[in-house]
Amino acid sequence: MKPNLPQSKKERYLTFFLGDEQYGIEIERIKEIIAMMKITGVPKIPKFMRGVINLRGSIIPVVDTRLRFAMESREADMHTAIIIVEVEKVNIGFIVDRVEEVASIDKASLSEPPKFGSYIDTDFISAVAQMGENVVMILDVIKLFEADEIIDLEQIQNSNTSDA
Amino acid sequence: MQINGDEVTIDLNMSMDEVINFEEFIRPRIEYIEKIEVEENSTLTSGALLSLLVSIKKTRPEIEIPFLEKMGSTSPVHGTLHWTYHD
Amino acid sequence: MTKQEELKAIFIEEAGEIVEKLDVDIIRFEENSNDLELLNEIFRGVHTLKGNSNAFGFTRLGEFVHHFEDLLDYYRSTKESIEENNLELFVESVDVVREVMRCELDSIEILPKSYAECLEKIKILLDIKKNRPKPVIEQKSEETLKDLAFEFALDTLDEQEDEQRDEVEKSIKFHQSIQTDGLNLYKIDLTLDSDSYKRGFDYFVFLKILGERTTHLESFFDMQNIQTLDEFKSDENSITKVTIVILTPFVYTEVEEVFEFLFDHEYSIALIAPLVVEQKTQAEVKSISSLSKTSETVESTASKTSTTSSNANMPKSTIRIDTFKVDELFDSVGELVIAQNFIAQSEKIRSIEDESINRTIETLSKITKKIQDRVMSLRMVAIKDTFEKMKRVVRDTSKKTGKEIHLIIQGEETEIDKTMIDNLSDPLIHIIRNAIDHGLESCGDERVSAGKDAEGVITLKAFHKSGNIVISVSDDGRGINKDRVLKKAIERGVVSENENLTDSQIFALIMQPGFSTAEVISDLSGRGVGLDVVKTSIEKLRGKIEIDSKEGQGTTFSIILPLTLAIIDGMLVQTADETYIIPTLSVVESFRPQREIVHIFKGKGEFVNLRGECIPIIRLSDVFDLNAKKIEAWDAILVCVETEAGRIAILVDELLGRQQVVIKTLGKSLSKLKEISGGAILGNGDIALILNVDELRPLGEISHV
Repeated sequence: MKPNLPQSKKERYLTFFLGDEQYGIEIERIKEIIAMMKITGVPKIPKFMRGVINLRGSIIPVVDTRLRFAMESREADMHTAIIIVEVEKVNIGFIVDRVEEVASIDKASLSEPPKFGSYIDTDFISAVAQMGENVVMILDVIKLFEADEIIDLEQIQNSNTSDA
Repeated sequence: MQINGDEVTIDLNMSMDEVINFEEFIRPRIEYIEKIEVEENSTLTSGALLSLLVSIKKTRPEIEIPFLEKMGSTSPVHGTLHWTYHD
Repeated sequence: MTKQEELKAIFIEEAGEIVEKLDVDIIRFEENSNDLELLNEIFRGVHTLKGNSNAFGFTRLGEFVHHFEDLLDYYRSTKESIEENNLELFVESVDVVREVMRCELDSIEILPKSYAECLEKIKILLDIKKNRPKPVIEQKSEETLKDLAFEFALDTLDEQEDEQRDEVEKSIKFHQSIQTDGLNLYKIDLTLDSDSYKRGFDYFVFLKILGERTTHLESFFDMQNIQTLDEFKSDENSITKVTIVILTPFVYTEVEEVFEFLFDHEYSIALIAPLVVEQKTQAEVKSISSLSKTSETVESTASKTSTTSSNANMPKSTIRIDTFKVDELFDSVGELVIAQNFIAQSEKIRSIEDESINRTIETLSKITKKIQDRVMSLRMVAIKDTFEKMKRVVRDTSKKTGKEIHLIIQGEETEIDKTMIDNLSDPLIHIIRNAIDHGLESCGDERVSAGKDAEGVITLKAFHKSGNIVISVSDDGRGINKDRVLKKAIERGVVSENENLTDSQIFALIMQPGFSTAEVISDLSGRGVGLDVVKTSIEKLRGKIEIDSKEGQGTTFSIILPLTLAIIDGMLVQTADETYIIPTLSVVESFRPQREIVHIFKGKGEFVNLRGECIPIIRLSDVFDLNAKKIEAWDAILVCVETEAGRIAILVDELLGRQQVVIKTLGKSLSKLKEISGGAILGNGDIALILNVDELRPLGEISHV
């Protein structure tokens, strides 16, 4: 399991926007980025889960990231994308407003996340980076997956095989 | 007990009297006996015979006593036995 | 993995297969103990095990098979015919081999009791056959050293004492290793006086008495002080000491009792504390899968069926393939099928009116289907092996219950998905045991007076039927008394009094958990024990069990399974613009009801009267909270399905057709929804959710059971 702060000097992150807030995810965790597509609803799932998509034969659940971070949901537009994140061979898609870039961030620019004053549960933010004028919140996807019980670190074996 | 030239075959299952008889039989013939065999499917029932065989072996080590030389035996009645006798 | 680990993994796998084959062969051999070729096969298997087990440090297994091999070798070279109880020993030995292997692989210190017992018996038998007693622990051959010592007579006594002490220590350690709960380990030193014979005591007599109370007995005779013949006297005891190591359930005082008439100085008993080892629980021991699961492999054969028959005239050419690779291939083919479907159905492409394009698309379709079928068949194996295992079960249960049984097997060539076979064994065994134990009459006389042969008949059948595989176990015994079952079920509150149950529903009651714990119901004694577990196991495989019975004639249990776990035959339905799949296995019929037969009961919901039966109507839009404009039942389609709780009618907007689809799991986060058992990707790329009909309940929460 990766520690909260990255070990090497410069790490690369995929950054994206939800409203005015910018977030980043370690590039190793990103499986792919796709344009918004048809999502099949699944009854009785948590509000922040929109449903499932067909990604070349695999059924992948999709999270409405805005709802997940207690923001209001919004209509998709041409910039809306789905980021497929992979943790321990489990894939989840996250709907984001706009994908920005792959940024190299110096370890020195990373600092501890604030304890309050943020939209989302600060457990999910592993660090905050200063990129020029902007502040990028680095997401700890493992904690995110765990919280949603998407992965169970003791039973990592079970969450695979027939999926892909 | 059967005698075949210089070879004797005995039944391991002997009473005390039979052991004493065997002892008396062997004593005078100790120089002529080359081998002591035991009957198939016979098992020891007394320490006396075992001791006698050891004694015979010690008296004249050249006598072949295959049963004794195995240093042990197993039977459903007595379990597994081990013995040593070399001097 | 290091090379060594790789080799070890391969050994484990092969060893597992050898043991499986031994299992089958030994039963065949028991039936026909003159088959020398079969004996040779068995010998070869054990021989291979021996060679490899020691190489990998499985010394306990090695030790056992070494002697087992000797015994087999004896019989195959002398061609002597084997006595019945010795045949039993063979069968037992194969069991022990399997048990020991498990212990070795799971690094379990404590071997099962049967290991020592069986090994002992083998050695005894070998002794008798070869007339060459073999001590359990082989003493080091120090003949030369001893001769030299004899020459110099130097400290020989001490040396020998040490030596025998070592042997005793070794013996104690060994017994500690096989010691189980309830057994005590004692070391007894007997030092009988020289006049002991005259007092009526002999070491052997004590050994015999102890032998009656023990599972393992070993003694060490110290014969050093025996004189040569000139001084020797047979009737005087000259064996100075005998050390006895014994494993027995008896307590100290009971052991002491044996020697009560000896002088105190003539004996001493010491209780040896058991070795403290990490005890692995039964559950861990039972993970038999550890036998061969570093990488599970399946034998892929050139032809469709795989065979372990030792009578095969032509060796089939086979290769070993990782099941993982087959699964991946299967997945890729699934995607191929979907993509190909898309092209075939695409409007745009269809509108291109080109002869050659259309023909090619057709060809593509056909080839894809062929590839799919062939890849599917890679996963299919004949049920033969599982049935062979059942022969053993029948034999054992027959012996245990004392009932004569004739086993008929049909359709053993029928193929079934490999992944299902492993989970099928246990339920089958349970059903067969039940059939023999409770289905068949308790004695031949009862049968004969009923006009049947004294020998009971169990029929094991496998066959394909409408896209499923059916495995049935039939007995020609007493049958199930419907009325009794119903009465008991009502008494236990499993069903209510005025339920209208069909025969098969009544029989199915014996598989309810409430039923299994029922007390003895005379001729139904115990029937139903564990059947609820069987039912759950089969349902996990997405199958079902049907029971049919005629009193006085017999009972048939039918296990119906889908051909493969990965594909489901389903009926596509549409509600509120969403597509769902209802497994065809559960579908009874579908229809558009007439207005007259639809009834609404205040507070209870909608019902449809289908030929006298009142079936609750379930609207998917209600169950799933969908946004749907409400249509009346008579404007919609009702799909009547059979569920655990009885029949229900699912109300849908439209029927879209019937299709075989590949099942995809929804992932952990979504699989908590019990009404949905998975997802499937349709030809057009859309996702359809597969309904778990047993979990569908009408709003008013009405259920039969």
